[in-house]
Amino acid sequence: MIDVASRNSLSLALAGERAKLVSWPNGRRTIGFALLAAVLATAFFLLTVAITAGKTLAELTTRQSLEVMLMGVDVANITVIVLAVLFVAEETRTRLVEVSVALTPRRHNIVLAKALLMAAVACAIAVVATVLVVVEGMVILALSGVDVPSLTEGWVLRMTFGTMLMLPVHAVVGVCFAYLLPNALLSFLGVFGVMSLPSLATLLPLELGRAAQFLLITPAVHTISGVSQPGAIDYTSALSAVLILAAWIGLVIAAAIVAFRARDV
Amino acid sequence: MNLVESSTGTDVVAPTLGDVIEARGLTKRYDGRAVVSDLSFRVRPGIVTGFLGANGSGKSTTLRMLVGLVRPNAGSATIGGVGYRDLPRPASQVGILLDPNAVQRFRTGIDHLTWMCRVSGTDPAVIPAKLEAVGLEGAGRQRIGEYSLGMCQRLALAGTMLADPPIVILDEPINGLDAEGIRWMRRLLRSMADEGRTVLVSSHLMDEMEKTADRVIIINQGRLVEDVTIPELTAWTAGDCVVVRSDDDTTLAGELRAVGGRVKTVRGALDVRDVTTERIGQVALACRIALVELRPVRTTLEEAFLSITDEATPRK
Repeated sequence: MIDVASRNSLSLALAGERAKLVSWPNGRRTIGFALLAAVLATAFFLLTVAITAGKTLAELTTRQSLEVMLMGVDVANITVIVLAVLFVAEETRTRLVEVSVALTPRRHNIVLAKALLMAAVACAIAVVATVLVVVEGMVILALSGVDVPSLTEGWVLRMTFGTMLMLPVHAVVGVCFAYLLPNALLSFLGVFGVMSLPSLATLLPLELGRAAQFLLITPAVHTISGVSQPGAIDYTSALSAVLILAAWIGLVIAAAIVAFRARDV
Repeated sequence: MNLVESSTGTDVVAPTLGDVIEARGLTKRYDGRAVVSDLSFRVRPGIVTGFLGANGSGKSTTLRMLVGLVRPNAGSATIGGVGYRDLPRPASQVGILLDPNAVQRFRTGIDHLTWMCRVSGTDPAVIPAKLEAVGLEGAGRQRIGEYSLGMCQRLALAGTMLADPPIVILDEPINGLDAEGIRWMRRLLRSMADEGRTVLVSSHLMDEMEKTADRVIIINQGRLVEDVTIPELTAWTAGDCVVVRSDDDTTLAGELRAVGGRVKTVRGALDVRDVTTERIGQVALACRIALVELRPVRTTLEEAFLSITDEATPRK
């Protein structure tokens, strides 16, 4: 249970982290880059689908069209991970973390504040990037004379929501890995490693691989978004997927707090 | 509650006896090597307490243990009887300056102080007054990357004083300051102590500490050597030395030895210990020896420091 003083300390830490983010030029640039990269990536993937998928846009199903559109959000996701990792790692590298800890000696509040802030920023980027790439995709599909997905259909909304969900989850994991690993590069590679685990799990024997998929982030996100359908190796269930994501977030935050508390800064 | 006008122009709550910094048996080891060993001391309000030691003697590690940046292997530190991390509003109770370079250089001075205000729950409206107080009023919108070390030091000090804390802990605050800056820092520390704040200042610059501190805690190789006032320290190590020149040094030396003095000749004058100036005058008068010079020599803090740390250092 969080006491009143601790909650107050968390809100102050959050206000401080927000002020740091606002005055971080590279942060603002990275956020802008995430949105630009999402738009460019969607255009690139839609316009090169004949090369990458061996089909014309007209030959894609509506679901495939939406999946290609949303690839721009995947690119924004990578940028968000970089943003989250750098937000922590740059503070460690410049030793500003000493001032932060002196002002907020209950270190878990710093970890929670950074994780909450990055999750919020990632949500905002996810929403804006998704709106941009969907509108852009619609325009490209319409100009190509192809049917556009209806935004009121349940599966479209679910896939869109699931894709957006990926960003705050990975942002929190990025923040926490930056506390667990010694520098920004290793932290980013660590998050990338977690994202790659489903591919590595396919190398395992079938049953073991299926069990491993059940515990990973990406299959959970794919299940929520509907990208993974029942019967697929990475399909879990909606409830399991939510629980898995919650467990990952809880575990990485707990590990980051333990690591940060144990460190002399 | 007793409100007083602070050195930085705003009202502060007058400190109480609860503003004592206390270290009990602090010990820190790195790779099995003790950097700080069983260090205990108290820092009281209303005076400037100097924390003296040579480079690498464990001063910074000790200060970092006081504020929770470094975890001690043994012992504890409290501020007003409470561990730093358990203070309800640490940022408004203790101002800390540990490293002026612990900043992100892409920010402006104002941006840097703004996030510190947000974390400490202080109204950012105080920032212009604090910048003016440290002499950075024209540089607030400049990027910190363009600051000199002295400006970074002043900015860090502004950050320390944002919430007008009753306790300040400063690690080598005059590093990088020019002569005028050093004088300014000296006045600032004095005024903070006069306001009743608890002021703990570490330094390896003995001359400066002699001019600034009322009391000194001296450590050597991570161990406490002395915790005394500067007059006490210099008196202990001075040995009542008096320089004497007369028209008959040889006779006078003999007479002074006869009354229990230790006398030696240094650069054409007598260096007399264990005899007061007054007694030397009386002996000379009794012997009808004319005194040319009779000058008590005050031991500097640096000499006292070197004397006691030399005694405290184990011989190899």
